[in-house]
Amino acid sequence: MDPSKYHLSDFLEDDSFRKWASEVPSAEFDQWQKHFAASPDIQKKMLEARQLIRDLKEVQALPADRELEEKIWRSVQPGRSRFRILSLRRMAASVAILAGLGLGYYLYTQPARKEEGLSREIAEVNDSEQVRTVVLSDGTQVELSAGSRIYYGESFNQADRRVILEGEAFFDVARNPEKPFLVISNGLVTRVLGTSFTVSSNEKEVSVSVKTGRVEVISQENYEHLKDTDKRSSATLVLKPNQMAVFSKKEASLTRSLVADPLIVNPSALPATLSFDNTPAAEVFERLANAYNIEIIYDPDTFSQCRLTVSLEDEQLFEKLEVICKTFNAEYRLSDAKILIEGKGCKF
Amino acid sequence: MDIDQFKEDEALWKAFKTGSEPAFGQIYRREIQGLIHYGKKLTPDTVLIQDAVQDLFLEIWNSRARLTDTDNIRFYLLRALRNKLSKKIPAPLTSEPKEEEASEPSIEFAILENEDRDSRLMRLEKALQKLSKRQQEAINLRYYHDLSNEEVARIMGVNYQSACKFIYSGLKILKDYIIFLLINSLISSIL
Repeated sequence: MDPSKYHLSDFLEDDSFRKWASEVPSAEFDQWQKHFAASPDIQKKMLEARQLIRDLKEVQALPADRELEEKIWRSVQPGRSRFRILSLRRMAASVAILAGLGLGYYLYTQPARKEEGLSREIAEVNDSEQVRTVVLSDGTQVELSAGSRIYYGESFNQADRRVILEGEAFFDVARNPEKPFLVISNGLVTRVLGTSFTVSSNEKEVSVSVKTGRVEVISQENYEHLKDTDKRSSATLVLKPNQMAVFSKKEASLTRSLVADPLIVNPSALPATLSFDNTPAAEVFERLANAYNIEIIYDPDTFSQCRLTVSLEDEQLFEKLEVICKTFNAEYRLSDAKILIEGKGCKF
Repeated sequence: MDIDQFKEDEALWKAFKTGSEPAFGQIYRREIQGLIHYGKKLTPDTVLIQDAVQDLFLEIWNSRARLTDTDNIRFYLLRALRNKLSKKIPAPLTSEPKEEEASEPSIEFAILENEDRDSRLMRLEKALQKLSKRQQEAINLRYYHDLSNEEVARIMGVNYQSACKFIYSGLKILKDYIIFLLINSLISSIL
């Protein structure tokens, strides 16, 4: 190429020139810098071409459509469900669970189900010492921990997808909004709406922790007996990312909380190294709430004088909160998956 | 795109293909505004754009293991989006309109020194509207999304020469119209 003979159109055609003009690095970048310095004549042409390329970009720009971005993200974020179930005295527990089940349609038809009487059901058992991966007919992957098992009926993936879990398993559920994925586990029904989450259960309680998306949990009892949609939904807890529910079998109570180590849900809201520089409390809380998709409740007046200057890196959310609360003369506590910040604030 | 970008894209795409959700999220966040932008240039129907973009991301996620490798994710996604939209808005995207010949090889633009930026951009914007849909699209892909002529051709489903023709005939019309507007404004400022 000999840019000294270039017409404006030649510059526009040249991909490496276009990159130079948009300040995109390329192998020829330095070469263009040299041409630019070579003569006033070529410099003038290059400037003109560069101006046009930049103008073309600018004039075609549209404001970023964040609303549409989030709307689409909600329906495309990987709708995979992951959950882990753990029961301590598994075999004893499994008998108790099976005896007490009788839930769901196909179970209903087999009220006297026993371990050996699983003719209409399929059992996936992992007797080995390693994790065994099972792929269900809907494409869902189940990583069964050692000594664990799942059961499901032949009606699996017809009207819905329901499995019974004993022991521990990691589920990677194929997305299908038409057919909810239900995990029945020791008195708790976990319904997947397109998410990832963990379930742990022992004889006394079951816990469900959500990583992404939405999960609904309802006690098995209510699931079966509340036919009225309104009543059923008021007995259902909807869990969002970083929330968990604990179901106590004895008290038949469902409580919502935050997981032990909430993960950052929106990395864009919070860079890996989180540095605050004389940042007002309201902004600190807002950034944390956005990043972890959690609700932080505080009295803006109390903390209106508070400023934070600190650099945080790998700390977990609760460690971050401790640092922040120390600075703000405050304490935090959890209530129904919300973080309440209370304290004296920073009056001078 | 430079070499590093190619490598970065290749690695990101590979991670995504193995089922990495963060990689998927990164691709989504990096490319979504460009895709929405391109969609809006093709059709004013945002519901249609939303559907097509949703389909696109659901499809690539669900069939991620079977996708071919790419070192230019933006190009890959823009092309897939266009395929989707062209099925739903058949006429303007796929019909072959009469394109003006790019007769002369040289295009010189008139840009006055120290000229005020707003009026310059306004003229350019007006001029862009004089272009055919396909010229607009080709110029958009090349000068907004920073794609090469080759990539523009493959996205628009035309051969290389046609893509070049869309771009250069488009630039020529821009030039003519900009000069026309410029002369007009000069005359009116003199009068």
